[in-house]
Amino acid sequence: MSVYITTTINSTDHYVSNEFIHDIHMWDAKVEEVSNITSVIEYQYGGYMRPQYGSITFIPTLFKNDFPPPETIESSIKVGDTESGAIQLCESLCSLGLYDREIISYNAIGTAKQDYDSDNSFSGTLIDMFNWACDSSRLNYTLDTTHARTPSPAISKTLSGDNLIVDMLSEASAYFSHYFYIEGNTLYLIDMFANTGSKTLSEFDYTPVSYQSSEDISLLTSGGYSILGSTPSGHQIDIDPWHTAQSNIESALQNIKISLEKDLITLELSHINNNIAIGNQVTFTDQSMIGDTTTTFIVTKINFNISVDDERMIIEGRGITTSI
Amino acid sequence: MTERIGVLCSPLNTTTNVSASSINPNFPIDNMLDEHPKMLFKSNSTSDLTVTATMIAGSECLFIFNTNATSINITSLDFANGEWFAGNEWFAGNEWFAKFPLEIPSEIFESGENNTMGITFNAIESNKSVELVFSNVDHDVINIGILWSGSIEWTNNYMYGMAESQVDYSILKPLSNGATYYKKRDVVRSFSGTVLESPEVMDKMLLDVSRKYGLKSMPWIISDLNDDNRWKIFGRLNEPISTTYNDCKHNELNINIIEVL
Repeated sequence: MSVYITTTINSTDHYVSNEFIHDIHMWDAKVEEVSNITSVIEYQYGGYMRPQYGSITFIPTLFKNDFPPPETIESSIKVGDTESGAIQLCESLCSLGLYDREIISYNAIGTAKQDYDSDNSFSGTLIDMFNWACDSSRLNYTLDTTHARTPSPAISKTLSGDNLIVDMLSEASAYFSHYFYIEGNTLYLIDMFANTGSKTLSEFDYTPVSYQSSEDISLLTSGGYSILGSTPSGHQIDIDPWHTAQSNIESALQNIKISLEKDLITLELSHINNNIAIGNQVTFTDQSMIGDTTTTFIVTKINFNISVDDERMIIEGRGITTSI
Repeated sequence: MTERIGVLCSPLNTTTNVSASSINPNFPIDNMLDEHPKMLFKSNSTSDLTVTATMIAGSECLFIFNTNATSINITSLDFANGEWFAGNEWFAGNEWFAKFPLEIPSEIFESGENNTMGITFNAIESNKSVELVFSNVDHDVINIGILWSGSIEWTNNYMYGMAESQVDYSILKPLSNGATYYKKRDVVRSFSGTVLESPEVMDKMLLDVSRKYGLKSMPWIISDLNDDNRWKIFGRLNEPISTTYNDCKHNELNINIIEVL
């Protein structure tokens, strides 16, 4: 699996990587490090899969004809076994950060569209709200609800003042245990409990794994209604409601509780695997501990770090571990 | 030219007017003139590739690094002094070496290791055009990492104790079950040892190579005392050359070279 980074500097494309690769193009070894390219769902129980692009550090000779380095460049990062088969991790505008005689570093800042809304009331369903937001007069995305819940949860919410639409969508979708991500011109709305693809890993696929026990929650409250958590001495959680009826709120809180009361699994894969995506249900067996276990979790975070001497991919999500 | 090259280098590529019969625009001619053997020039066809270049007056060597050619036919290298003749051809194997005056085939090395060709000869007196025809027996598209010609500096053999070692840039990490994940990447060679030389050669290596060009990448030919072992690498000094003044006629030069990618 190789890394292909197309970087546009002053309108000229450069094909670079952390190693020399000759494929359709000659990929020059001009990348010192790509750190913390991360896709992560905003809340533990759903919301916007907000890309956190991290930074890209180049070897200065990439800028020998463009020095001092320009304030912004564009970069597209793909991984794959071949150039034509590589899958895109991110495409981003990059803003100049630190540079010195040894490195030139850029911070990737994304290219997401943004719009705002004022003094609005929402009724109908979560999908109705997303359809409204994706309209050509607002975010102008095609909405994909293939993996959204059916029927879609009902919404009843009045907002005042100015609000960023993506932030509203993030809050609303999280409240009803959905998440969404944007790829190209399509916005994908997905149920947190949907399985967008089952992946099985063996112990040859990952480095030693860590398990973080679930959150200790005593009470989940929203809009004046509450449900009990599983740990009476745990902490309380209060979430802004996106409905006014008790049954709708309690139903939403039950789903949030299910997400939060699962263990947090952090798995570092042996190598970059472009076959695993956010929302995939990953199952793996761990025979390295005092007892053998099987764990199944939904991937809610993927983190990439690529340097001249290492390539790391870390996936994270909440799941259940059982003995075998 | 000594009959017993120990360590030879060509600090500066002075090749000019390079053209090729076929060029993949994604792998331009500049790629064979830069100082990274893995930055490839590529032809755009599966036919033989003809590369034409000019070696300037004073050139004493011609190197090719990282080519997939299985034979290179130098068709128009025609030196006025008669020390070379047209039509010399190297077949098979992946590594060639010839030292002028040619004693083909006894001077041809075929280690098959490094896809490299290196030739040294008496300095040419005026600019010479050279035409090289690259062929691949399987009709693969020809690629070339480095095309290099220029002047040379050289020393006697390394003294006993010359060492070869390797640096592995692969990725190695332990897996959950104790097995190892290993991604093979490039492994380069390094050579180190001491040369016993006259003050004149010491001056050349210390001043005309090490101080003037620092750790710049360049072609190296390295021999040990057994003439059957001879390496042609594209590398750089791993550290500046150092010397010990033994007496008024002898210096020990410590030369430590590492291959580059």
